[in-house]
Amino acid sequence: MTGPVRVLVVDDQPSFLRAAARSLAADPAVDVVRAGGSASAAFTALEEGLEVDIALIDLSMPEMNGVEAIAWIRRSYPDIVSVLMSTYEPDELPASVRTRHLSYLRKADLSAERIVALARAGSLPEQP
Amino acid sequence: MTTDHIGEDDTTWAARRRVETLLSANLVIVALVLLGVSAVQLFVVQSGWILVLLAFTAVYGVTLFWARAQNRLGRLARAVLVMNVAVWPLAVVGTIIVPEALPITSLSGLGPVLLAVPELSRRAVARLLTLSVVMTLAITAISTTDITHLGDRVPELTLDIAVLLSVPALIGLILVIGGQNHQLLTDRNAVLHSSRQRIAEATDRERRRIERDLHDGAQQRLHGALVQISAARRLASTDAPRAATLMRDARSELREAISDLHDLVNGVRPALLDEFGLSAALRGAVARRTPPAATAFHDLGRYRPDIEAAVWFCCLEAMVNVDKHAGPATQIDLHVDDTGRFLRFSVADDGAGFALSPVSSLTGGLRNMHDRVEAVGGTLVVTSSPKGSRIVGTIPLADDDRR
Repeated sequence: MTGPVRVLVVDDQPSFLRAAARSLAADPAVDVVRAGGSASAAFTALEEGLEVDIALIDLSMPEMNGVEAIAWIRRSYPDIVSVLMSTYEPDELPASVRTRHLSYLRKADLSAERIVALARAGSLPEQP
Repeated sequence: MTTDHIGEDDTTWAARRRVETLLSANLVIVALVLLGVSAVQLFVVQSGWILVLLAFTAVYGVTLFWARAQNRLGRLARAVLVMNVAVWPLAVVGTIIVPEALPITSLSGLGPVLLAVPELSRRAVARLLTLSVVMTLAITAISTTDITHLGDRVPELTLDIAVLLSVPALIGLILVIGGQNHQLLTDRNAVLHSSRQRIAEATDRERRRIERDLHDGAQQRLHGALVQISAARRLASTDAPRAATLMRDARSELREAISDLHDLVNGVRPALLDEFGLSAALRGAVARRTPPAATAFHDLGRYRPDIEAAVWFCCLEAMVNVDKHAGPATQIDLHVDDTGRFLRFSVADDGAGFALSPVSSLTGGLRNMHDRVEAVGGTLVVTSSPKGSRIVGTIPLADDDRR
């Protein structure tokens, strides 16, 4: 992977979305290519050719939750690293989320460094 | 002005209607007795005693009129009490003058006592029952001596017919009142049950709202601020201007989070209410509105916490409703008065009004307001017209409701 990590952020909470986009954009290692409140709008952007290395998706959103959104992205764009995020501790997550082995990030831990690390780890070929 | 739903629940209304019906029926009977006894005086026997009987019957009729007026003013308990007391002077005088009428006079006090069972306190009913027993024994004793000998001068058949018609009618009436008591208490029980259920649901809803407000508001802002501060710390040595921008953003997120928390806490139960009481808390809430609501608070003291919370909740909910439906530019008049016996609040606006619906089919904010006021024994009256709306809550105050 060369150049900055291209990040897509989807969160229906505008205050956190704004803060996350600004913090990530401040780091030259990361390029926030899109930050929006709706999963379906993000899908449209992907279908129109938006190039993304890692997608950060909020867990609870009104029209489609993060787990469903990640399932869609994995089906259509297997190369994109999808990361679920929320304010909950990992052990507070519902069992249905934990059993899917999704990459998970607490909102409090969000940083450009973590995103770059997750993007690198996710794009490595899986170990046998 | 349309007063589409009034604040009492359906069972209170049913109880008042029943007392109204019985009082009206009683007045018809009084009129018939006056006519009948006058006929006896005119055509059968002339006696001063009959004039006394007529006078007592007339006074009894006037008292019933007064009781009916009290009932129509909503003073149901007073009307029932008057019915219970007023019947005895007439029963005593009636028995003295016509001892043969004992079966009628001794039964006449039982109906009012039964009527009092669901309306008055247990102690009051016990006292009325004692009065009834004592008076029945007294008139039974009185009936053993005949000082007027009117019965001897009136054809025996007249008295027999009067007794034969009246006694089954009185017993029938007593049975009907007993059956109504059962129905009334069953209905009240059902109303209480459903209001208890609604209060439990409202509490649950409120908890979910608080959780959602915290999650969507302050929590997201605090996380946003944390993420920006972390990024700024990392950038501080390499890109100071960007780090400074992030810190500024984080600071404004923190300010917003504090304001969100402040609003949330005030919406639940403001510290001002607990520490300084209704007028201080309501003045604070009103001052934050534009245009500020006009307020008038008279003789407000401190009350039981649930009473203060109910008044606070209803006034705030009413003002929120005005902002939501009539528009924020609408003028609001907020009054809270302690009249000694009642704590009364009124929220009036000059907006476009809204369509009212019966209490039993209310949902949402107005339903919650009714439940909160009824939970502290009060009533809520809502009126609305194209010139504005008014919500008036009245909560009766006992001595231990103050603090």
